[in-house]
Amino acid sequence: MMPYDLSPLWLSLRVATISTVFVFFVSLALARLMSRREFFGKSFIEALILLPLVLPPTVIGFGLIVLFGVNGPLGIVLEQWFGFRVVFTWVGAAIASFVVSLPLMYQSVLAAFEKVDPRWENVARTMGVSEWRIFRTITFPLAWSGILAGLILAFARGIGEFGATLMIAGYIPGVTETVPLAIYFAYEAGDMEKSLFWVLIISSLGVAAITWVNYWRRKTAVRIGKE
Amino acid sequence: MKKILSLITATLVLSSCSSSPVKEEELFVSAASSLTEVMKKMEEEFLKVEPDIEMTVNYGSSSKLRSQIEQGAPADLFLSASQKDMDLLESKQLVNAESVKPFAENQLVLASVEEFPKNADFSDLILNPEATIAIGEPDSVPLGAYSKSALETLNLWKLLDGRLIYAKDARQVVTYVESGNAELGIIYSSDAAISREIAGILEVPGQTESIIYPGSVLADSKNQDAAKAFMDFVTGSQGQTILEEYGFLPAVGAVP
Repeated sequence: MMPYDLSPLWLSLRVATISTVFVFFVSLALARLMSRREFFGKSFIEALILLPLVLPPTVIGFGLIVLFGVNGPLGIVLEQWFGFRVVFTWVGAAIASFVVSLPLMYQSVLAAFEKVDPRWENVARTMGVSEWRIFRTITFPLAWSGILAGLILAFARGIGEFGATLMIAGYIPGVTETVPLAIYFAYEAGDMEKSLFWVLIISSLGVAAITWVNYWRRKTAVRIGKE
Repeated sequence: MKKILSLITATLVLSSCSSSPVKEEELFVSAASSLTEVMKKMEEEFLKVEPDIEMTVNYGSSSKLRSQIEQGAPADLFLSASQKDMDLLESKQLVNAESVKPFAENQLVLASVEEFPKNADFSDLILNPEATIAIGEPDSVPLGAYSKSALETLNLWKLLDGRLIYAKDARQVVTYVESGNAELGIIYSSDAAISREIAGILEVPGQTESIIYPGSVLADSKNQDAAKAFMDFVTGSQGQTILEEYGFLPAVGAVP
């Protein structure tokens, strides 16, 4: 196989990493809020978070263009205040990845928090420990394995995002060319070898991520069983 | 049991909806995406002449349509925006060689939603570092290949490296420009002519080859007569008039 320019791989990893960092904090905050509080419109917000799981990528892309486009409300604000455009930049690709991987992470984190026995937290409360410290030292460490599994899934999903990315980031070779875009355009141009090269790379990343998550789940299941 | 029965009934009712009364002949046309608008009109007028034919049109970039045909996609007629893709099909004997005929011509223009200043120079406009520029993807979209060769002739191609946004077909370039997300785009003059949003149009210098649209009946077509009838309509006087209305130039070799 001839060596190809690897820039799509580095870009995909960068986009997925940055998107996953944001997904991590946002999903933790959302899951914490949702699992603790009852408020008006809660189920609506929950549906909104999970919506990207069922919407076609073109609809997500359309929504992002409407919001972040040159004439979209957020697009105008960003351009005028920060002189910064989202459309046709790698940041657009990161936003697309964020939107599609947030629901996956959110569900994992929510499940992980629900598995944590509330008695541990209550014991800490009777000792007058602050809520933030309880979260940091009890809830989060106990939920960690589920959170980590969610992170891996979110990262893998972020790398694989194609439809919405093509719409908002466009295809600029070497600038917004993520691996899925490279596959698509190589195939369109009839370059099967190049498509295959990237398909193999992205498939092995996906397989590695899923295998690792499953291994981790089995390991923790065994450990909990022993306790 | 009742539930299952009613479900089956509902499924049957729903599936029967889609089978409309069968027309005599079905015609599958694969057309370049830059023909999207004109084809609607073409179809409308053609069906007045031939009411028994039912047409289905599949749009995409010509290379994509070509590879679909190579892989056995059902099509009776191929209306291409590039001679190259037609030649490739011809070399594989997938089209009837005697039916290959040019039916329209087109030109490249630089387009924008803002009007260009008078006497604006193409190179100055396109080298403005503030502007985002969209073109067709050069390896898979004929529009992109034409744009690339024009920019190479002008020695601008290397200077624009990493600045050009590649679109997946000609329509997408138009959409990028119309939505304002790309300030400039190199599109077909036909697309510029029918667009309501595009105000700035400037002919692209450096075009060395004319952009010819060839059409042909496919060798595997089960519907040669209907395909030929539509092809004759497109190259005939009525079809040529419609094409001109939509900003295309008449094809050399088509009936005036």
